[in-house]
Amino acid sequence: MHSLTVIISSGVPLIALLLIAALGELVAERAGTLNISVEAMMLAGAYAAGASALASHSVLVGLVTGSAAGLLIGVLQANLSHRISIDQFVVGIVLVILVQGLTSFLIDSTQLDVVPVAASWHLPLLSRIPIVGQALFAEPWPFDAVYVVIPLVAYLLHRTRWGLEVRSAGEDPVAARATGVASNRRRRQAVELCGLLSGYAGAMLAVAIVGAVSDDMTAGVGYIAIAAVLLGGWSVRGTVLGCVLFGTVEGLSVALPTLGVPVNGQLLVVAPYVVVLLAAPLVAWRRHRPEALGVSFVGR
Amino acid sequence: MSGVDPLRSRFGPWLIYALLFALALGGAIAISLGLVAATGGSPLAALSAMFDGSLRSVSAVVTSIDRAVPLLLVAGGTAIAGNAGLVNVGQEGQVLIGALAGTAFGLKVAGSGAIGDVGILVASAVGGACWVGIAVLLKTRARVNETVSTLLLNYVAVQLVAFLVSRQSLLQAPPGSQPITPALRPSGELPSLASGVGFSLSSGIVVALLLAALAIVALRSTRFGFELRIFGMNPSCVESFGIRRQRIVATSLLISGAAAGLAGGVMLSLNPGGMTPTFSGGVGWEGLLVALVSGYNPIVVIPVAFGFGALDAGASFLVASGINATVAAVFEGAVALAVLVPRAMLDQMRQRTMTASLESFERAEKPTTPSTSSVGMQPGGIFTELATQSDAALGTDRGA
Repeated sequence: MHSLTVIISSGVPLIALLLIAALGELVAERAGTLNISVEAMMLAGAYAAGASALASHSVLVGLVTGSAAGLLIGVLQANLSHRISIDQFVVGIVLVILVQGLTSFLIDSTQLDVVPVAASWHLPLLSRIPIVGQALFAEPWPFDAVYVVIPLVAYLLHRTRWGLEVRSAGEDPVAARATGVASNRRRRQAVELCGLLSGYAGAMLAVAIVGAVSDDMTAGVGYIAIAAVLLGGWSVRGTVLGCVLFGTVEGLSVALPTLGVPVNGQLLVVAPYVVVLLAAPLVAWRRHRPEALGVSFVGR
Repeated sequence: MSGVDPLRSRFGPWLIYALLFALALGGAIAISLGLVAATGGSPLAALSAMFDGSLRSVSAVVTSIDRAVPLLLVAGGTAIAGNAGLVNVGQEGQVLIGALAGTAFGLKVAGSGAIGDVGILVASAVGGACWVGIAVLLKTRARVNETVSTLLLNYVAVQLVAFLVSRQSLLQAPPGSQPITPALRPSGELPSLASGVGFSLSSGIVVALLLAALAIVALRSTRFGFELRIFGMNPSCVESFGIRRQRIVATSLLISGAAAGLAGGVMLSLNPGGMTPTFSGGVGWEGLLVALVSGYNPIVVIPVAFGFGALDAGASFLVASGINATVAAVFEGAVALAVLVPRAMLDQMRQRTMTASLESFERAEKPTTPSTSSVGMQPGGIFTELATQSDAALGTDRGA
């Protein structure tokens, strides 16, 4: 296999995974929630997907259950932080710790080493394109959701009234409320959408990439999704680019050792985090961040 | 309004809170024991094992206290940052870097005698403070949210330690295959406070309690603590009082990081035998949870830390009865929710009755339509767009 193919095909699954979670996170952040529990949503999605796919021998059931588990965490986060107004970071951290403990307990008590994996779709002609064909057009079918989610999120956020209200709830919930927008309801819905998408991303990890469920298997991918949104300057295009960048770097850390390139493992693992920490000041200067990001709003 | 409103009476709110809390705590216990039962364990055996491991004997109690010491340190520091309204979630990384700095000091500078003992702890605290210092710089210089930066720094910390402990030329132990540092002990071990048959209480508890007391005094009765709490309540009004917000942000986060680093240093003496990239083992997260459960109250932090320490010590006994020890983590998370949710619900009930009575008062005063607040309304941008869209398409939703 061409070495470029190896690199691309180890990057693409991670890019797809990151994209779906990060676009959910983008919606939540545009509504004013810096949603740390995206990690909890993905982990819950991964576990639920693995367990249900194993029980039902169906990848589809796994994906649906995983999304539902993510949605459940989303509903929890939404109502705790935007209905009874507990600090959103506090809720996020508590949910992450809770879900990590819960999944770790359940994994140790059940056997989830082998989980059904989605079959790959070899698109005719396209998958024969040299170098990129195998990597881009012969992936397991759940990945194709990416092609739906990107335009869908862009459309929802920027072409619908709902998206406008969501963005206004993230800029200034008080003013939005005064113009008749139910700010907190929009914030809750945004977090719930994030839960659904992140749950799906977690499910993909279990039933389309790894094919097993293990302890803390997301290992901070959710936080990389948050980082991608930040690096992307809170725009759909920027978030997509951020995910492609981080996914490629993560892919490199998988691909380079198999290609026999001597490279420092720690450096590659740590690269996305360092890139974000270095780039964050630049982004904070040049891009407009949602004005009420992280600020809670008491009211309807 | 009716005569008896439980939210207005003196003890009413407490009664409601106690009721809600009892319900939520009962739920947390039921869920945890339910999990044990559902996976084929015996809830009674689990409870008795937890009791054996945490409270039954002197040595069990000592283990509980030793487990509580790092938690208390982490949570005490977090409480200070929390009172300033800052959410530091990088304790796990700060603990790790603290332990790393302590180890480096012990191995490379002085590992024995009084200089070694004190130096390791000081180096740990400095290490933790330096690590959070990155987040401080990002926050004060570039408005980068401290929660995100501290969160990401946790992962950088693990890799940094992994790098350093897998290089012979740096901190790796001689055989050179395992990513682990040489053991620091026994030379740098903290002096034992009291010892007897089968137990030895480390003097770390003295350090932790002293610092907790210091935190209480600093927060309640110093100018710094006052400024910090004002800043936490309303970050935007402090400038007009002549308080420099950058200084508050920097000081409180640095204290929090130093305390977490110190916790790492104390852990070095509790867990001898070399440091690995997973050395912190969740202590940072758990300490954060302790601080959250205590509502950032430095007095409440002390008993909660001991409670969580006892839970940890008890959990390590669960394995013997065939139950997975991670159920303790589930329980701790559930307890955090059980504390946070009733408190927030009560606050909201209070706010509702206040708003309701205010509205009824306004209605009685002047029977016109309530004036719409225009706080934060600015011409241009998203809101103009919103208003025009509203006018064009959805006139029904306006003026609600």
